Amino acid sequence: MTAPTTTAPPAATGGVAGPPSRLWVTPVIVLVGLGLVFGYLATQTLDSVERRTINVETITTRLGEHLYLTALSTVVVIVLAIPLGIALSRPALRRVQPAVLAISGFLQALPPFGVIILIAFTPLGLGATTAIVALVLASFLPVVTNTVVGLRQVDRAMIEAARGVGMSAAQTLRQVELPLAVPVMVAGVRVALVLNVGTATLATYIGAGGLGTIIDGSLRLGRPTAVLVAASLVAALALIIDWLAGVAEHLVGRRGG
Amino acid sequence: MSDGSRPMIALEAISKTYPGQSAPAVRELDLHVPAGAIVMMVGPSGCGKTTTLKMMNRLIEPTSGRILLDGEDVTAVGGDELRRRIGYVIQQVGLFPHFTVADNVAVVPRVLGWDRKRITARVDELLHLVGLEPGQFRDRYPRQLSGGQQQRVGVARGLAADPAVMLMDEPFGAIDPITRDRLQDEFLEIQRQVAKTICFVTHDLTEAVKLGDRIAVFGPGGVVEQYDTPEQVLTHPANDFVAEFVGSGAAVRRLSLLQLNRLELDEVTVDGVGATNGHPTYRADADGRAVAWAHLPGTGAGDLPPLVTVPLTGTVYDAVDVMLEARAPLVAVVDDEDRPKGALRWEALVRELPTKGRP
Amino acid sequence: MGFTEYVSSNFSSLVFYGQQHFLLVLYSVAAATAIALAAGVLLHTSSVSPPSWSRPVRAGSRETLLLVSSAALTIPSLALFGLLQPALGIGIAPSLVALTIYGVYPVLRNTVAGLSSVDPAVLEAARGMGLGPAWRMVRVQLPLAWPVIVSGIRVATLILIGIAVVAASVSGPGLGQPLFTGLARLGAVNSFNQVLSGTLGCLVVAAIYEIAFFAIQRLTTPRGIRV
Ligand SMILES: Nc1ncnc2c1ncn2[C@@H]1O[C@H](COP(=O)(O)OP(=O)(O)OP(=O)(O)O)[C@@H](O)[C@H]1O
Ligand SMILES: [Mg+2]
Repeated sequence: MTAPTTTAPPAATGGVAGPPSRLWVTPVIVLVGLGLVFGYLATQTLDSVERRTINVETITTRLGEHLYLTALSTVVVIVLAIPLGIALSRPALRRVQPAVLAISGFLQALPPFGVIILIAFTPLGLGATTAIVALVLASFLPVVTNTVVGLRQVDRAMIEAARGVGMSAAQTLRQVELPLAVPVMVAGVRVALVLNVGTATLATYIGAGGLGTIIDGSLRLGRPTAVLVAASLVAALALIIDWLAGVAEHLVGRRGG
Repeated sequence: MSDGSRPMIALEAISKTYPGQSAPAVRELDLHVPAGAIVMMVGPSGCGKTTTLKMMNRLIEPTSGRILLDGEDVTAVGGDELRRRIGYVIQQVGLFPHFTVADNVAVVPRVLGWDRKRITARVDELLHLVGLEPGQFRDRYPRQLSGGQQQRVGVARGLAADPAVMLMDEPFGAIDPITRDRLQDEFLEIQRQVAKTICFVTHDLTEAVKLGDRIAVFGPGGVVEQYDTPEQVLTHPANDFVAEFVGSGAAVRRLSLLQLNRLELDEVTVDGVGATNGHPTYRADADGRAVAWAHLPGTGAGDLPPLVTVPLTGTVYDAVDVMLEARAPLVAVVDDEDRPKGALRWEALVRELPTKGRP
Repeated sequence: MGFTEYVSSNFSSLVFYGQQHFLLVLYSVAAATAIALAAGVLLHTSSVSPPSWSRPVRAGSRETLLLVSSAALTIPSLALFGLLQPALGIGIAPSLVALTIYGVYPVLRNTVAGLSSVDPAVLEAARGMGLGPAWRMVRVQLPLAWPVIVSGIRVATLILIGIAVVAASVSGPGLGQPLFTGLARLGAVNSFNQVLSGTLGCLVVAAIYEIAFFAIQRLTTPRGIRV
């Protein structure tokens, strides 16, 4: 899974959580969803195979690995891709922007599944590092794209007005362009990062662990209940990360007036 | 109705309270629009003009009251069916951006199932009427038109199915003064040809006086403060609110709003043709143009003032200007060929200016 | 064996997988588009129309559907395909259903955004001329929203091409087949070539779709709003 490029107008870039006024929705969905899954689980009698995966210890370990993979790749992507997106929207690089956007849209079709395995054939070999590289590669271009799209939709007249009152290019970027671009930018980036959580399930195929290990193992052994538990945990994790991003955006937005 | 003719549109005790609001936007409004008349709706922002207009074609449902269209109660008629019979021009024009000019104008005739030939002929006729050469503009898209051209297509679209009633919400709102002036002249010309019943919202008092047979002055809270002829509104504001609205203390400014062809002028006669009947008499040259006064009632032959003229299309303000300039107690009002049609005397200004209906 | 050599000796089977992949994505995108367009149109609420009891119901259902379909994107693909297996068996059925579920959100999001971005003045003018809601939707809103909707369908297509390889985990058709075969035999001869051909094959399929979308955009965007 790769993030959808937000080629739609700003209104279309809403993250999973919608407008800030409805920040309570995501936690409710997560709680209700998990409640249903674990309620269902309580009605099931687990066999020995299932008990070996569905227990507190295994789940916490896998959850920890999953968090490690997602958190690290997320930080790397944000540190690398957002500055690149900003750079691409500077006048000097603006000419290559359409090409980058087109390629980035096209590369969404690359299956992360294939990419993650192919990287394992490189000298990096198997393991967590490879998984993180693959995750970074998968969400890198979508985040660049959303940064560019966010900055591009800022009214040209605003920028010209800022330059007109004597702001430098750097001041204009900091005080005008970025604040105006942030809502669209963050919305798109959030979608990319949410999908990153799902992609991290594939890490199991190159021995990097994570909740994908429970999913893959249980699929092989034909234990859908365990698959359901692990999948709902991944989805819940993704929704919570999105929600945290939403809360952070809301707080920053309020402080910035 | 004061003039006895049957109202085309009659609002009877119409009120509208928007959901979630305590005060009504329009309150117990009675308004009768005579057939073939242009009623101008003016008033400060937010006083319910648009709301009233939209209730006439039931874009907005009134909270209470009755609307009669040509004597028929339309509060029960199907809204869409009603609106196809009433032309509607909104301020923001709202042309369909993906339709050509011709397709935009043809929308309602198509829905009404006119045949293709009739539609094409009608579109060309209307584009001519609003001053857009069909050959040049028919196949353009709205974004290829200037703002004023778009406004005209909007007016043509409203006229397309030849509705007897037109509702126009600031149709010339966003146009520069010169173009607007020309559009207003075209509009009066169109109205002379097609004689529709028109309700017209405007913020421009000059426009209201120029185009209107009657003016409805709206006050805050959605009430009509005065509903009368432009001259009455200007010269006899019904209350302080209207006086303030038309320009407090600006009696002189009102003169510039009053066109001479709306006035009941003193009769004048040409010298040597029958009795003078006490009217001012002038000497004319071979073409009938006035040269000098021959006789003025109550003025000795030696004290005759110079004959000055002002065109019929001018305003009272122009007449005053001319009189002051020439120190003359009266001015001859002349037509396009400089032939006097009447006279305006200085004393008449300080008395009540007698007006008549549209020329 | 080098990659070129591998491709040329397995060309016909790779083309076959590619075709399967193309069709699998085509059907799922078509289904997702049908669902999203129907929902987007039926649940559309416009400030221009008079208020009615159904407006809050429709707006609520629309927001819920947006939320649910975007939350569905957080379910890991591997798990979704697997979870559908008990109900739908293996092969094409679970593959189509899973991909359709993933495809709804991008199309629905753009349909909602496109329909609501139509200038209210245009809609009010239409209503003022006595044109009913169906006419306004078919003749005005859909044509004006169409470019945005198509770009949503394009995004859905590209995403589904990438996800569709996972269909092979439930014995579904497409380029996931060589990919999973290579994965199962990781380290064995040609396993690298199999994974690489499956991965790059997706780009080839995507290229075909991109050309198609370019043509569709050009041909179906109304002339008056083409930039
Ligand atoms: N859809 C609506 N919902 C709630 N209140 C409304 C709505 N439309 C108008 N109003 C209110 O009703 C009052 C009258 O509005 P209306 O649009 O009729 O004014 P107007 O006289 O046309 O003003 P303007 O000259 O600015 O166009 C205003 O106070 C306005 O805020
Ligand atoms: Mg108004």
